[in-house]
Amino acid sequence: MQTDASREDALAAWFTAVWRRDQDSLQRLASEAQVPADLFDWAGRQLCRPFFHRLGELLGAATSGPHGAREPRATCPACGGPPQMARLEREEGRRYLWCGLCDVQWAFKRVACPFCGNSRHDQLGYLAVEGNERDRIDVCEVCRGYLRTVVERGMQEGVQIDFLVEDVGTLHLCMVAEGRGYRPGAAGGDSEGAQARGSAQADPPH
Amino acid sequence: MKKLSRRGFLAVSGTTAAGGLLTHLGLDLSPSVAHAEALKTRYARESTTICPYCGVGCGLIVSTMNRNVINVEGDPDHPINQGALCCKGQSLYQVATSDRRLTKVLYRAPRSTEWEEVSWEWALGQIADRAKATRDATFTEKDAQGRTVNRTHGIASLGGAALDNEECYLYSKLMRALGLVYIEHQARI
Repeated sequence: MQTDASREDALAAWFTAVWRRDQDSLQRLASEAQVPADLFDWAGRQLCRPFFHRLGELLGAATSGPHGAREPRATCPACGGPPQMARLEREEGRRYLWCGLCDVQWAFKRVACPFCGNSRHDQLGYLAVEGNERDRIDVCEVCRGYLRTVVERGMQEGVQIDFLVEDVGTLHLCMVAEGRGYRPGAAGGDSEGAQARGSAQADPPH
Repeated sequence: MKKLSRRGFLAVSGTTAAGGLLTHLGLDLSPSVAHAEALKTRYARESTTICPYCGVGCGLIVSTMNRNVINVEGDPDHPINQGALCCKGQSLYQVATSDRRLTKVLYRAPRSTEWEEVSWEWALGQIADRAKATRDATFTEKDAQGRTVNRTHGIASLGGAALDNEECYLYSKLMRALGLVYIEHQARI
């Protein structure tokens, strides 16, 4: 039978692996716990979320606002993770990225991939959904990452989007993107991303 | 319809934790799958450039689809305009798309009330002939004190902001070769 201390250690190892997106550790911990790795990762993220939400709230003042981030950064200012969605704000079209773990938003450059940093125009694009001006899928041909983006220009004034709702509501866009060979939160220096960068060069744009 | 296994869905949703929750609660995702399969998407690009009009040099983001311009907007990340554009800049989209844009040279003869279509060759020849005639008629070799000046006060030149650095260099060189003294540029106003 496990002691309280060893349970705490196991929990800490789990959370750390989830937070760092450490696939090797996740695989190992999942096989030790005899749980499928994807389910293990998913459950870990759910368990972490309340804590990261609180962290995001505490850091909110430092990260929100149009000029909260002086230097555009690709990763969540609270947890350091990749963005899960983005929005283009109504007035100036400034892009804000959103972290699904911490529920934090921060400003980032428009014409650059937040996952691999690629800023070449001819290697970036977006999938426009016919008959829908509001949602689009920003894609990078270098790392093959995609990011669901809500275009607020043209939306009814005063309407605030709720990313937690958008995340579920635009699930079909994930399927569209992944059906075309793009991956969520791709690249970023991990081995998977490096492979994608190597192979993406030959991929013709659509 | 394509069936999506739980494992497949977890891979699909990736970091979409809330979406994952739905499947684990036993909700049917097939409507989402059907929706995704029915959606038609088109590939668009965004490129940054500079407004061609005045000397301020505002940044733009131009969206294109199959090499056609579909949108022009101010670049929010550009330090000069931070996403804003004047009304002339906001209408830039029309430069690429308006069917009222002139595509042929139109000429109105002196005292005529009608515009007529002419060839580029003819128009450029006329510009050269008339510039030469005016220049020759107003050319001053020596001023009142007998000093060599080789100039004309009969023509002035005003460069537009759409000219780039190299074009301005060549343009001012040509004007000086003609003997012009009044050489100006829009960016200096």
